[in-house]
Amino acid sequence: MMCDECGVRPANIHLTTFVNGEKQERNLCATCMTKYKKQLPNMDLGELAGLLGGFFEKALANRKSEEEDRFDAVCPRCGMTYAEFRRGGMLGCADCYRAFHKPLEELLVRVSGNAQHTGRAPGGVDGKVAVKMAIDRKKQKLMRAIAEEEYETAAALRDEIRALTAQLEAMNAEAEAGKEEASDE
Amino acid sequence: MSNAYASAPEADIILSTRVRLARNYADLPFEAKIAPEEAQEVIKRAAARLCGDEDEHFTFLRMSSLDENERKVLSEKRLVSLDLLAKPETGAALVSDDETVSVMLNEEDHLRIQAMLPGLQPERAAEKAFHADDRLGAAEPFAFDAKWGYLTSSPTNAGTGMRASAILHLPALTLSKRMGALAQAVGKLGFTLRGMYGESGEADGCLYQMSNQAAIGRSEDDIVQNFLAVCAQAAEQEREERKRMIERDQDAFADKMMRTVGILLNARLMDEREFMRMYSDLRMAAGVGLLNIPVPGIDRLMLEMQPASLNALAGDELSERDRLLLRASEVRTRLTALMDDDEHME
Repeated sequence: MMCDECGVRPANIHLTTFVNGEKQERNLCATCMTKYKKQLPNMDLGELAGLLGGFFEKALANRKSEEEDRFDAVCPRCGMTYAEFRRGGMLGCADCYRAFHKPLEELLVRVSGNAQHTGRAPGGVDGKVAVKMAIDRKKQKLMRAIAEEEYETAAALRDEIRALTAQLEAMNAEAEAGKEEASDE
Repeated sequence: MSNAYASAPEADIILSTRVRLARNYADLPFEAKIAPEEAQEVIKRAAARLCGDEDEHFTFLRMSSLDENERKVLSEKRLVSLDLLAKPETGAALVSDDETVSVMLNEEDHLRIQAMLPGLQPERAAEKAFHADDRLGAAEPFAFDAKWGYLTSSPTNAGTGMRASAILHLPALTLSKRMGALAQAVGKLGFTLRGMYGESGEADGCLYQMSNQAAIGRSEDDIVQNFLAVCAQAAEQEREERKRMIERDQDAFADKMMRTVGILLNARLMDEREFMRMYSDLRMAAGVGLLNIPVPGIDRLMLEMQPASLNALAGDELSERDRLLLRASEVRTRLTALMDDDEHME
């Protein structure tokens, strides 16, 4: 079943709302749910959390913006502080992404609904990137196949994704082993 | 050249498409922390890559060596941003000979690569931008991370670093007050639609800019394909609304459009906002075939009647009054020429 809102992602949340005593039921994906939530600022999130089976609990945890205010880090390379970034909105160098990893991830999930790059990579930076991208593309094809009820195509895609995921894990394990070897020396 | 322009897809509604890529060199600090000599290094690297003798020739422009008006003309042509103009010491640009590709240096990011094409052509524009991207990134690596993608000054650009945008001419949807609903609908799909010129909320000339919101989480190809679909859909809605308008009262529609032509051919003083309103009518009249003037000619007229371009034409900083006079007289001659061209064609 696909999301009622976007129609492109599978629905994994069943939302029941009462508007003026009228019951509405919708099936949504997590991304649309996040957007939908923003339109309902007056809703008691705690009460809804029970209805939504854990989804809002996670969202509530993410909402701790006071925690973000207290987040205090300095980029070791360029000297940018997190407070400085919050004022200007601009990072100081590539390493800031590592220094402010946690709040940046929350920010991007909030703004873009996602914080994992898929797409182009500079030539030959990392073989893993290419595999990750291939997996991502196939996952999208898989969703389309499910939406169009082409189950044979979907099954083939699922197998391909499994094979690629195994390949990626092997690459990760290899990299880990390499690191250990290096630290042993 | 004008033929290629005229046959651009969706050109009756969509003026142009632009694809912009944000890139930074991995070993240099970003704009917020960059030292003047490091900013010069950015310029040196990019110029060395693109000013070589390869297939596409680029001209190097240092903002500091241009006068105020030359800078504004670049911005009115959308080759550089206002933010770049605000950086006379370190700001620079590389512009391809046909002005379809430009690279801003030391703007918010080290490199802002942009490709602009007439009509709705995001795929080709992206291709052109990627071509420049590959050339620029060939020697010194760009800041990139497998999780975050291309790293940018503003984290909201991280990922693909890509923004696709198009300028849409939507007078019928504006008149029928359907822009709010359309903006909301495209918002749900991850796109933003806003007025191009004019104060907040108003869109002079009924020109709007559509662009993607998120740069991360979707591949470039995905963004481009969705962008293409959303823009084509908006253009189709505009066409249908125009059809409805004409069906409702064809004579009133023709009357309004032709009165505009009358004013444009006879006015002696014309300010910018009035001109933009008339431009919009003229473009719509041509778009639906009521007037047989090529739409690209009308767009060129609009760009050339912007304040800095008028100054450039006069070769001098014009007083407000002289600008009104010059705009009116230029519009008269140019529109007459456009209409005459057309008679010869028939």
